[in-house]
Formats: sequence, C-alpha cells, structure tokens
Amino acid sequence: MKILSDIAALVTGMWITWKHIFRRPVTIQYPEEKRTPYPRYRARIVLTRDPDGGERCVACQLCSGACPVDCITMQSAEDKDGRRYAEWFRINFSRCIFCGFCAEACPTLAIQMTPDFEICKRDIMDLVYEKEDLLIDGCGKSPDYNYYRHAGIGVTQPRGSGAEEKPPVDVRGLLP
Amino acid sequence: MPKLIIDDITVEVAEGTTVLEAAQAVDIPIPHFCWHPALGKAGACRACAVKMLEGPVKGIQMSCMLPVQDGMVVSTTDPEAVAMRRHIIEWLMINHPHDCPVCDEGGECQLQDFTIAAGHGIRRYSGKKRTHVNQDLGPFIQHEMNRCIQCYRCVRYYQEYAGGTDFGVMGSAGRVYFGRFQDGELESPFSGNLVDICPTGVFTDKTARFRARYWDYEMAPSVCSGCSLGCNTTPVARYRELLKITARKNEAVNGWFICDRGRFSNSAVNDPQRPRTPLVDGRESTRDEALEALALRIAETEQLYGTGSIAIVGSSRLALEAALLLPQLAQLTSAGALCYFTSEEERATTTSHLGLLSGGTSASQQEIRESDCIVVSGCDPLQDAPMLALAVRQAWRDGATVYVVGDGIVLPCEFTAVAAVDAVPLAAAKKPVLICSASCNSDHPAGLLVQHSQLKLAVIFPAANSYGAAQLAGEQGGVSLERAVASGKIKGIISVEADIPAHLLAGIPFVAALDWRMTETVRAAQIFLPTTAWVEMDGTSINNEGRAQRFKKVMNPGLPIRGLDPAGHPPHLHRTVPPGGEAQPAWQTLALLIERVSGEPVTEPFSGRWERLRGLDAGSEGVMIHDL
Amino acid sequence: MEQILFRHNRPGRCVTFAEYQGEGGFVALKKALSGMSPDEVQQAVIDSGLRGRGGAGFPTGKKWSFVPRNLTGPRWLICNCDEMEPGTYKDRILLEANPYSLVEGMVLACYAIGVRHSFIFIRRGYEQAAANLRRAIAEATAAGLLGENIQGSGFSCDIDVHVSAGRYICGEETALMNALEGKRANPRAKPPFPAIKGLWGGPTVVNNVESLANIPAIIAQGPRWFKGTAATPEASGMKLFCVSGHVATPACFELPLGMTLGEIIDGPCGGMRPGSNFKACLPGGASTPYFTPAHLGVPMDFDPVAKAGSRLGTGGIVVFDQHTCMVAATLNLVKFYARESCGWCTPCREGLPFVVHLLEQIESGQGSEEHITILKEHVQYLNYAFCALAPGAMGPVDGLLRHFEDEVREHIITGKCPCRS
Repeated sequence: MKILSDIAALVTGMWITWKHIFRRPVTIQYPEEKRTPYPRYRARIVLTRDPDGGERCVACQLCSGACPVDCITMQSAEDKDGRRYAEWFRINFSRCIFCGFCAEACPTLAIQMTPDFEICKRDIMDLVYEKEDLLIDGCGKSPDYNYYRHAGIGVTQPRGSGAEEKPPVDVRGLLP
Repeated sequence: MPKLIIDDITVEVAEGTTVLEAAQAVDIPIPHFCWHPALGKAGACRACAVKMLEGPVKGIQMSCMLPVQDGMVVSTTDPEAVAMRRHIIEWLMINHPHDCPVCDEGGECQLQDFTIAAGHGIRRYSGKKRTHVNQDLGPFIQHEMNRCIQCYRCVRYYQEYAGGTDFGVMGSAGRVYFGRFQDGELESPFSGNLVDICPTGVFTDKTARFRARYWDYEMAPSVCSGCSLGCNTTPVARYRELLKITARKNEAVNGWFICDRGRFSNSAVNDPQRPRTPLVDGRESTRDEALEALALRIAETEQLYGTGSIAIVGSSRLALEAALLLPQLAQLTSAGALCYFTSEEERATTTSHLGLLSGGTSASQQEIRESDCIVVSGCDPLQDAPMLALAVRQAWRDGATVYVVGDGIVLPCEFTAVAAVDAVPLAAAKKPVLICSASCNSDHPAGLLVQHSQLKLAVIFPAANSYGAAQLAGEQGGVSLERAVASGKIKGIISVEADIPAHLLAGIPFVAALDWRMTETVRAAQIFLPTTAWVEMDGTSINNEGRAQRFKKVMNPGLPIRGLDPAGHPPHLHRTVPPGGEAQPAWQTLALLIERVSGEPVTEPFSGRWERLRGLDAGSEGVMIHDL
Repeated sequence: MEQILFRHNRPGRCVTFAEYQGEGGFVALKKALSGMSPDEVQQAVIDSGLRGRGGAGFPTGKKWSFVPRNLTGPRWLICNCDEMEPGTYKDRILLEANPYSLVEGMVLACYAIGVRHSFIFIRRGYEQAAANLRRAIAEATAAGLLGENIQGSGFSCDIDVHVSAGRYICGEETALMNALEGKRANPRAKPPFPAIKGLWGGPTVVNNVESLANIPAIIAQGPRWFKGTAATPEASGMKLFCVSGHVATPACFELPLGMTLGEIIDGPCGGMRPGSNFKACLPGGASTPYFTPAHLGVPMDFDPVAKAGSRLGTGGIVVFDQHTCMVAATLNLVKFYARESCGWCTPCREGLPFVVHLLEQIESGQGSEEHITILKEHVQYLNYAFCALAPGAMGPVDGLLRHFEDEVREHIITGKCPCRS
C-alpha cells in the first residue's frame, strides 16, 4: 500500500537526521579554532628572493601569460648591472582564482603560493597588491635556486663562469 | 609546371620552386632557420629535413635545397625525418643558453617554436656550453652571441642583400662569431633588419628592450610615414606606448625589409611634449568647446575681413581622409585659399613630377629590383629614400647596370658615374628605371619618357602623402600658402597637420591648428585640437608611385603609462578615456567641424571617384591611383 | 716489384729533372701532344680504370668526361694536395721524391680537358714538396714542356702552386674552390657539380696528386698495361699505401691494388712489431670504419673493401695492436674532426663535439648504456650533414660500435678503461 511506503520513506529520512545529531561535527569554530593548511595549499601569492638575496622575479611575463583570468601585470626593466627585474608588479587578488598556473609557469621559481588565505579586505581596491606587498625576504619553498647562475647572460658572475659554461671563445685565437 | 605529392597532397608549382616552398603553399609547415624567402637557400641548419619516398632523389633530403621535380613523393611525417629534425634541435640546444625568460625574442622566437614542434625535451648532453662576449653594435641593436644557432642569416643578409662590409662571420667550427670585424656601431642604414631576420634573440631591438612580450603586443598593419616610399610596417605598442616598428612583407613595395630610419623613428609618438589637450587661447578645454570656439572665430574672421580671408592649409604628411575633407571645409568657410602646400617651390615641383606619373609610368620598388638598367639622376636615394638604394642593389646583384648622374652619391653597389642621362644606353635596356627627386628641378624625365616607351620613373617626393596632396591640389585648384599670404588677403589660417614657418604666421590675426606634433604652428595657434598620429588611427596615404595604401590603428591615443606615477605603478583609477586621450583622427575632427558649420553630418570621406578606397584592405598591395 | 710512381725514387733525395727525363720522363707528354687527340687521352684514362686516389675513388676518366665539350669560357684543373686526412702522408712522400710525374700528369690532364690555367692547392706545412714543385714547374717551362705552345703543338697551359691558408676542410673540393676564390672555406652544395659549375662558375676538375701522377704511365705504356699491374682482374693500377702504427716497418709502399690486407702487413711491412698482435686497423685513413683480424683476407681494392663494410679511402693504413684501447683511438680521431669542422651545418658543428663528449665519458669510466644508443643515433643522422666531413668522422665510431661494442660495454660496466692498468 502506498501510504505504508510513504511512511517508511519519511521514517528513514528522519532516522538519518536523528543519527547525525549524535555524530561528531566536522565544523570547526573559525576564527577561534583554525585549521593549518598543508604547505602546498594555494593561497596568497608571494615573490621570493634567491639564496644570494636578489629578487628572483625577472619580469619575464610568463605568469601573466599563463594566468587564466589576467590578474597579473608587470613592467620589465633592466638595472645598471644588466639584471632584468620587475619595475612594477601588480596582482589583482579580487580576480585571482588561486589556480597556481603562475607558480607552475615561473622559470625562476620567483612567484610562489603560500598557505596564507586570510587576506579579506573591506574595499576591493585594497586587494590590488603591488610589488612591495608581494616581495618577501626569503627563498620560499626552493632554498637553492638562483636563476642567474644558469642564465648565461653573466649578471651574477662573469660571462662564461656560469654553472654549465666554458670560458668565452677568443674569436681572434687560432687554437681549437 | 612540375607536380609533386607532399604528405598525400598533390601540389603543382612554378619551375624552380623548392619543396619547402611547395609545402608552405599548402600550409604544411616545415621547420627551417637558414632559409629565408628574401635570402634564398643555404642548407646550413639541416632543420628542414623531409623523407623523399619516390622520385629522382630518395631518402632524407633538405627540402629548402631541392627544386621540385615531377614524380617526387615527399613525407614530412616519416619517423626518420621527424627524428632527424628532433636531433637538429637537440644539437642546437647543446650550446643554447638558459635565458628565455630574460630574452626579448621569447614569444616571437623561431627557435622556441621549432623546438616545441620538433619534440625535443630532455637534455642528454652533460658537458659545458660554449660562450661568447658581446659587442656594442650601437644604440639600436642589442648583441647577445650566446644565443646564436649559426644559421648564417645575418651575414648573408648584411653582406649579400644589404651590401654592408663591416659585419660578418669570424672563426670556424663551434667558435663561429657573427659580429663587427672591428668594434663600433653598425654602418649599414639597413642594419635594423637584423632584428627581424635573426630567428633567435642574438639581435634584438635595443630601443624596445624588455618592454613587453609578443602575446601582449598591440599590432596592426601600417605604413611607414618616414618618406614617400610607403614601406609596409607592423608597429608594436603596449601600455599606450609605441614600442617598436617591424617590417611587414609587401612584394610590390619594400619586399621583406625596411630601412633604419623608418624602423627607429618612433620617438615622436611617445614624446611627452606631444600636445594632447584641446586648447582655446592657451586654456585647456574640451573638444566640444574648442570646436565651438573655432566655428565662432571662423564666423568672426569672415565678418571682420570679408569672404576669402581664411586659408585652409593641409600638408603632404596629412592622411588622405582628412585631405579629402579640406575642400568641403574651404567651401563652407568661403576660404580664400585651399592650400595643400606651404612652400610654393614644393607645390610646383611636386605637381610637375606628378604629371609624369599619371600614365602608369611609375616604377614600384619591385620593378626597380627587377630592372636591368637603372639611372639615378640628381638625387641621393640613400639619404632621401633609403629603400630605393636597397632595391637598386638587388637589381645590380642580378646583373643590372647602374648609372649615377651627380657627385658625392653613395650606393650599396657598384655604379658607373656619367655626366648626364644622355650618356646612358637606355634604348638597349628592356626594363630601364630612372630615379629622380621631385625637389630637383629638371625637365629631363618628361623628354625621356617620350623617347623610351619602356622607361619607368621612380620619383622621390618629400613626404609620405605628397602624391595625395599634389593630386588633390591639382584637382581642387590648390595654391601654396606662401602665395596666398603674399596676396595680403589672408587673415585666418586653419592648419591641419601643416608645418608653417613663423614668418608666414606673423601678421595673421587668427590661427587655428590641428596636429599631433608640437610645431611652430601649434605654438602660435589660438585654437588647437589634438589629432592622432598615424599609428593611432585608420588612414590612407598615397606613396611615391601613386599607390594608395591603408594603415590601421595600432593603439589608442593617450599618455604612456610609463612615467604617469612617479612611484612607478599604473594608477588605480577607472576612466573611459585615458589621460591625454582626447585626440581623434584629423578627418573626424574636420567632419565634426563641417557638421557644426553646415549642419550636415559627414560620415565618409571617400566619395565620388575615391569610393574605391573605402574598404581598402591593409594587407593587400594597395590600389594605384591612376586606376581610379 | 714493378713500381709506377716510385720507379724514379732516389735514396735520400729528390730525383733531378735530367734523371727523370733520362728514365722515360715526359715521353707520355710528347706522345700525347704529337699523336693523340684530347678525346683519345681521356678515353685512355677511362679504359685504364684509374679511380680517384684522394679518398672518394670516383673513376678519373669519367670525372673528366663530365666537363661539357662545347662550353665557351675558361675551364680549370685543380690538383688537390691538401693532404690532411690523419694517417695519410703519401702525397708528401711522392712529391718530396719526384714532383715531375705530377707536373707531367697535370699537363696531360689539361690537354685532355681543355684547360689553360691549372692550380696545385698544397697544404701549409709541405714546404719541401712545394719547393720541389715550384722548381719542377720552372724546369719544365724552361725546357718547353710547360707554358706557351708546348713542344710546338699549339697547346698551352700553365700551373700555379697555391699554398693553402686554411685547415682540413680545404681538402673538400668545393671548399677548396671557395678558398681559391678568396672566400671562407665552407663547402658548396652539390648539385651543381664542379665539372659543370666550379671555380669562378666555370667547369672544374679536382683530382688528387696520386691520380694525376699516374696519368703519364697510362699514356706511355697504355691503359691495358696499367690495368694489369693490379693483383686482381677487377682492380686496376697500383696504389701508394702509407702504413703507420704497430707494424715492424711503417712506411709508404707502392703496391698493386687487390693485395690483401694480410699480405701487405706480412710482406713489405715486415709483420707486426715484436710483442704486438693485430687487433684492428684503419684501412684507408681516419674516416674509414675499422678492419678486424676477420678482414685480413680482404683484397685492398675499392669494391672489395666497400663490400666488407669499410672504404679504401686514401690507402692510409693505421694498424693497432692488442694494447690499443679502441675507445681512446676513436676518441682521438673524432676529436680531430670536431676541431676541423668548418661550422656551416648543425650536425657536424654540434654533433661531433657531442660525440667527443660521449666518448670522453665512456673512456673515463662515466659512460652509460644510453651513451651507446646516442652514439648509434649520431652514426645514422650525421650522414645528413652538408658535406662528407661528418659522415667520415663517424666512420671510426661506426666501426667501434659494429666490431668493438663489447669493449665499449666493458668500459661502461667496469667503470674504467680495461687497457689502462
């Protein structure tokens, strides 16, 4: 009879609800209790430095190109030693979807994602971060890599003394 | 016409076409570095390897070296060919530096593209890379020799195509070095093309160093406004700044290259002194206010001094659209003079030389390159229209004889100095070309054209749209401003992108100017309206052979973002018009003015016999005016 | 044993002009100019079966016949004396002993092809040979055997000795022509072949010293006689084999083509030197794959050697004994080629240093199995370089991988060279 199966359905539903009253809730009482995300959690973006203290970001525009929502813009410049760096670097966190494509694309391991997700602001324009808001003093997640030691343009060491380089060729020499 | 089958597609091509070009004709891309359509084949890079399955030659062959023969069956996807191309890239990557992120060529780099296409990924070579020291080649070209893949394009272009002698290749084996034999700046006036020619980042544009990446560029087909030749260019802009100008291919005009003057003269567009705001009596105002004031002043001037007291002045650098609206404005303001030229001499010489070109006797740069006898008379092509000198060299390379009348002329090829054009055996030539200048007053060309029916004429005019200005001056009865002011009747000048010297403006009570450059005229004007530079608008100009070419808008007018905020960041502001972005194309301002004065809107500057130029395709070879 | 080129040798000095003339020198020249047409001279060379002695082994008479008869404009003959192939020194030995055979051969060749001006392109370092040649040319000119209206026949030709300012690649015929024209010594693409379009755009024949020096004997004693001097009926003529390495008497011998490798080593070379057993040899200069003891019975002639998997090349035999590490020997040879690359095409310029690096890794015990795979790929793909330098450089590597792969693997597995202890 239909009425019996209807009652059975009702009772089953209410039994599940009743069961859950006595289950341990998974909700944690934020902000009094906080869960610590794993180090690889993708939240606030930072620009890191290399082990020698220089800025890693060479403003190659790869993160900007990879970003699916176009939230990164920058202007590249060259300092007096020939080192390419970002004259200004802007991430619009209101657009950012924290996908991590920028960190994946970065060839110098400059742009990295940290687990810091508590970046809410009242005014949306405060979510536009400039380079001074993004640059940190440490190496982030990769303590060993200095891109300029491998780049071949001789910024942090004389030409031909890089990690995989032979000394420069003497064009006028006849020796092999 | 030999026929071949390439990747199961049958292609029929002209005699002498290579397999690589045949593949390109059916959109099959084959990686290549040393082959270039303008430089021909070299066979150095070995990247264009294909497998010949059937035909007169078999096995792995270089498609850029093989002329097509009947019966050839080619496969570009054969595993051995694919593996060969992958090995070539692996070999090139052995010494290539790890500097894509800091290299300007990244994003527009042929080596990057073909490396991905070849499928090379993991590095198997564990040895060290060879390095080089760089040279300072001057203010325009950056030299970074570590990146070189030794395709030999630069030396073949510089020495063979452009005739330069100070740059070349030195050394042997893996130590070959492409640079100047002695330290110093590159001497050739066509050295800028090294930037376009180099498939990697060895030669990059120093003026646009580290400005932006290819995928962010704003680009559109355009035409150079440096001289009257109208070579095709692709300007590149980003963040409201004109970064650099690159060459665009046009077989009929400049071929694949442009001269250094056209390439590196973009500073006027970014000049911080550029006038960008409408001014009324020195006070900043809006465009509407300025137009209103202008209409009032025109009426006032007419009232005070009677009809015929206003001069409408265009110029030979003014785009055709605006030039076509000047007669209408002249009529509405009862102008006493419609001037397309300021100087009488310029008007007279340009118009007289225009008459010689009306019957299709003008020589294009392509016709100069294919000529068998060239006479350069009374002009210096390398100074006034450099690409003509380059075209003359190509003709000489193919066996043409070059004669020069005049002293102190330098050309990038050998020539015979003659005392006069009569000494040249023009009758014996099949495709002779005479190169002369509009500013050199000689009546030789007219007589010669009558004598030799196959002779063609290349005239060097002073500015980008001289032909257009002279054509309209002739049709509309335009006089020169010099003559008009001398008559004493002119009391008001409306200058549209004209360069009027101070002595002509003295004593003129009312001067209005429309321009994009800060000139004497703009400084003297009471009412000023900013116009757009050629890269900021769609427009048309007619080059020295009477070829109308369309240039398209590359960027929006406005102050470059660089330098707006001293702290360096672009501003956090929302606006609909960028700062300094009030400029609009001259013809649109004129249209608004005409509408204000007459009450009738103007929507289309091309009417009547100019109608054919309405939808002119910027990618085409243009339209010859004498065909209209 | 009868000698053709070495018959005029004098111990310890160069033969004189008078002595050469006294021994039948310039008889062929006079015979050809007085009684034979250029076509007949060319046919005699074709009939003799003479093949190029510079390494490629192309039939000499056939090469001459490619020059079009009816073209106007100058044609050129170049004698390639740019002998830089490692293991090859036969041209130097010949010219230091007797420059006159070459001079006579060149005049005959000029007569057959129709050449007015010819060149001897000689490498820097062969000072004695160049001096001998200049003296020989002067003496021949003075005697009316060279220059204007030779022997009153109406035929004129002259020879210019040009000393190379370049390196190994100048021995490649098209690079040689570029060097003579004053350009960078990069090879040219073939086609067009030099016989059609060569020096300064005109038809050009490039022949080796030894090939041209054999011409007088062919004309004087006839093509059939010349063919019969070989050891087998398929071969023709004799060859200068310049032997070096671990044999008892390493020297340059003129031997009949078709003699087996074993006969050459045991005969004139006096066998292996005491304490040495034959392990391998380069049969024809540094760009040929190795021969092993299994090949001692191969007749040393162009076709049999090719069928056995190598090339006769220049006939420069370099013999290695059991103490030789084949990896080290190959490394030494490829290092030479890597240095001598002209730098035009990618496979040679970049691939050869890669091969050197791999062999260095293997020799120093840091090799891996992958290196063998990469070497095999290089042997295959370096065949598609612009000229024959890169494929030649891979000859020894090919031989190493075909015949001595276990020795290579021993280096890799033990982590050191088994021949060094």
